[in-house]
Amino acid sequence: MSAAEAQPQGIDLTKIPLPQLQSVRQQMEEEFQHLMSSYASLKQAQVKYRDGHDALTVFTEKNRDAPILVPMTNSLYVPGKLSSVDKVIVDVGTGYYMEKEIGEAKDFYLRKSDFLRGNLEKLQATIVQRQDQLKAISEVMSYRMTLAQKQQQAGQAVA
Amino acid sequence: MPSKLEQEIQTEVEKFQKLQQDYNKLIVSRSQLESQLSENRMVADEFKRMKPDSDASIFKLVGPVLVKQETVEATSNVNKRIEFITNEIKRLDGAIAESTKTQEAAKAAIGKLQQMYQAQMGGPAAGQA
Repeated sequence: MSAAEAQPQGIDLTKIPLPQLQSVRQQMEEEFQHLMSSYASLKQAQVKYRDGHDALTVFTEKNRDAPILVPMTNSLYVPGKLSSVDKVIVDVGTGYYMEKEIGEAKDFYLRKSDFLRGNLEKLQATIVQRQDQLKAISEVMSYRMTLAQKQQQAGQAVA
Repeated sequence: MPSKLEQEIQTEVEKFQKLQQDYNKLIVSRSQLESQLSENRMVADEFKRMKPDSDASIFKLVGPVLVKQETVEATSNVNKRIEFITNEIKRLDGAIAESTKTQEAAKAAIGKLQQMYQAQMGGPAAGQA
């Protein structure tokens, strides 16, 4: 009786069998996790590009021949000299490296960083949307489960 | 002891699971190719942005060393790669469509067998009751 009353007020979700709803939720949860990890790696990549851009700010005429420490490993540095402040070599992907002037290189890093920021925003919108959907499904599921429990109790009382 | 029908269902289910595994493998390679394609496209785009009169060099990473490469050669290399990957993706899409079809057929076969099984089980069970 109560189920028949509940159905008309509910959305479509209330008409799907509970086990099916459960598997849908699990699927959505997996997708959500995947989106989150994609977001994290995108963010990491964006930070990398921004760091590249920031590192280029020291390539000025003033710093020509400035003494530097060149990292050979994580913990071993050797003294060096900044002999060229005009050009750098930039990793453009798939094993290719391009020689660029400082301005061009900065532009490259900014472009990449902006591109990723755009993608991050889009991804975030999707994540928020998925989160809402997941919440809606979870709510319907817990509602239906308490309903089923009540029905069971009612059935036992009659028996 | 499992009946002949049960064994048949078992083998069909195993077949279906194998199909699913193959399908997942296809999907994984498809997404790998997709990311390779977009990476190569970005490199090609970068080459295009280069001023035609610039004397900037392009290097290719070969093992641990950077080898200088002619701009024309690098560009054509990347374009060739893009072409190759695009073709691979097309081929995989065909394989994925094929796999979806065989999977559906296997699913239908399992469903039929299960119906038969239920009908068979329903008979004697009803008789016992």
